[in-house]
Amino acid sequence: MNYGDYVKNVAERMNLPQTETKRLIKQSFETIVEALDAGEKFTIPGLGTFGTKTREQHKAYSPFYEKFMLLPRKRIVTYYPSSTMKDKLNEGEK
Amino acid sequence: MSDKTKFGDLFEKIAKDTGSSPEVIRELKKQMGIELRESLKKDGSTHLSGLGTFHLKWSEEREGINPQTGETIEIPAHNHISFRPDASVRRRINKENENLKTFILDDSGNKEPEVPAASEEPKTKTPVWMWVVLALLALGLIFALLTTREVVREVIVIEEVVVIEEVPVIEEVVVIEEVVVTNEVVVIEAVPVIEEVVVIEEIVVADEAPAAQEAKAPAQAATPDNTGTAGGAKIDPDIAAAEAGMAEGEAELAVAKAKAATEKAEQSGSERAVKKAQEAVEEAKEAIAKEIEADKKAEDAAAAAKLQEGN
Repeated sequence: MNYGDYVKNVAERMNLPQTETKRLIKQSFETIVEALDAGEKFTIPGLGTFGTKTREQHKAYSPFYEKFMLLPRKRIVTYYPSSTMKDKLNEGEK
Repeated sequence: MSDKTKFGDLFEKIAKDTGSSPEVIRELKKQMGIELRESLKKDGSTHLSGLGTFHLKWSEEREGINPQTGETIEIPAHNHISFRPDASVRRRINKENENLKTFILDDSGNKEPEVPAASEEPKTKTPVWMWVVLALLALGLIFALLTTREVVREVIVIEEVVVIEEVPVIEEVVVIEEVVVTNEVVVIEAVPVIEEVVVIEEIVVADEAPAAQEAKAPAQAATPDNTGTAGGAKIDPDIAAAEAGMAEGEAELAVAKAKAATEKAEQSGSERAVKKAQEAVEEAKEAIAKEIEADKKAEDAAAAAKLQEGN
C-alpha cells in the first residue's frame, strides 16, 4: 500500500478532508524526523518506538568483493514495534 | 532513559506546527497506527513517503532456548515487523557522516585507494533501466504532441512570421535634415552666415507599415514652414521638391511591398495576415495622398520663394 491510499484511508477514519489529513501527516512525519535527527528516542502509542543509534566504523566481509571492507561510521534509525502492534498483527495467525 | 522524549511533547509540537487542536492530533496518531496495522495486514508492506517503509516478514515456527532458564522452548510462527527509513531520512540523520567513505582492505589490512562502494552496484542498475523507460515515455509524449497539436502550432508560427515580414516594429525613426541657409543680404561681404536647422523627429511606431512612416517623415520635412523664413532666409525649392519626389517614390514602393505581402498572405491562407496586409496597402495609399499634398505645398512654397526673390 502506498502513501496516497494510506492518506485516503486515514482521512476516511478521521472524517477530515484528504488535503488536510495529508498536511497533518506530512507535518507529523517532519516532526518525527526532526526528533530523530536531534537524537531523541520516543514511543508513539500503538505504533512503536523510534530512535537512532550510531554504528561506529568497523570491518565487515563483503561477499561481493570477497574481501574485508572498512565501513564508515553511520547513524541508523531503530524501530521497535509496540506490543499492541505485534499482537494485532499476529492475531489471525494463531 | 534520560534522552527518551515522551510522545506528549512530540504531539504538542505537531499540534503547534500544524495549528490544529491537540485532540485532533491525538486522534490522528491513533488512526495512523490503526491504519498502518490494517494496511500491513492486507499487503504486508506499507510505504509512507517522508518516513519509511514498514515490512512484514514471516518467521516460521522454530526452537529456541530461554537464556534465563536454559530450557528449550518453541518459538511460534509469527510476523516480524521491519522498518527501513526513507533515503531522505537516512541522508538527513547522516549529514555529518556523508563525507566518510567505504574502503576495501587488502590481505595485510591496508586501505586500498579505490573506493567502489558495494552498495552502489545494484543502485546503478535500476536507474539505467528506469532512464530508458523514461526516455521512451518522453519520446512517446513528444510524438503524441507532434501528431495532435503541432499542426495547429505550425499554422500559428507561419502566421506570425508573415506578420513580422509585413510590419517590422521600428522603435525609432530618426530623420535628420540639414538645411543650409545662406543669407543673401550683401551687407557683410566676407563670409555668408550659415545656419544649420536640424529637425529631429522621433516617431515610435506601434503597428504601422514602415514604408508609410518613412514616406510621412520626408513629406513633413518637405513642407517649407519648418525652416523658419523669419531670418530673411530662402529655402532651396529644388531640394524640397526633390525630397517630396523621393518620398513619393518611397510611398509607391511601400504600396508595392504591401501588395506583395497581401498576395503572400493570400497564398498562405491566413485571414489575419491578409487583413493586416490590406490595412498596410490602405495606409500606404494614404501616405501617397499625403505625399501629393506635400508636393503641392512644396510647389506653392517654391512659387512663393520665387516671388520673394523677384521682390
